[in-house]
Amino acid sequence: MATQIVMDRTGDTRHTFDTHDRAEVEKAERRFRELTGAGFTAAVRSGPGEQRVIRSFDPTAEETLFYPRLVGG
Amino acid sequence: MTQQIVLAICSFALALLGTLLLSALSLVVARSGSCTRSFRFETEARALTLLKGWLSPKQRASYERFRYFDVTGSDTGTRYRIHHGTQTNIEELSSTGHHVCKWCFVPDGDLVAGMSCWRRRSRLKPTSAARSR
Repeated sequence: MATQIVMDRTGDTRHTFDTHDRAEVEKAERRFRELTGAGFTAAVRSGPGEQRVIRSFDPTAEETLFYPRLVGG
Repeated sequence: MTQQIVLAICSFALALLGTLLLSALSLVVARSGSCTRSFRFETEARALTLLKGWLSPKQRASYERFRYFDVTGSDTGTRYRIHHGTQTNIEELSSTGHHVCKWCFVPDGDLVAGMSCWRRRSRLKPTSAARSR
């Protein structure tokens, strides 16, 4: 099972999907495209305390975190 | 005389109705406030759990002890200290660890403190483990 974690005003919303289920993977990929298209950045864990930003859907990622863009400076 | 009695009864009924309505209104407001506080507390807790889960052990220890953690910018190598909070909580540090300035980034949308801290960490965090603080 893999999880897509989307940061939002409730803390986060989690979408779990079976990586062996083609329909669920397609749905997860659609969600990935929608969120990144809406300005979210996607990151996966690359080690303890480490993360890597991804630009395309990774069906093998155990956890993908989506966070909204920052504004200000 | 009868008119006076009717008038008195009507006045009493109106006053009673007003009191009841006010009580109901204050009850709704109190409950709504309580729900908001409860919701806020719950979301904060979830955000903090997520934040801690994605911090390195050293960052987590720092955050739990001092309510801040350090990151190093992936492009510039600049050190930043992210304090718990939702605004003006990014401190730029010099190479000697002294305060340079404060930055104010906010996530696009309404996030709770733990999420804001995490979001800033992601923005500043390097991809290389060697740069981790």
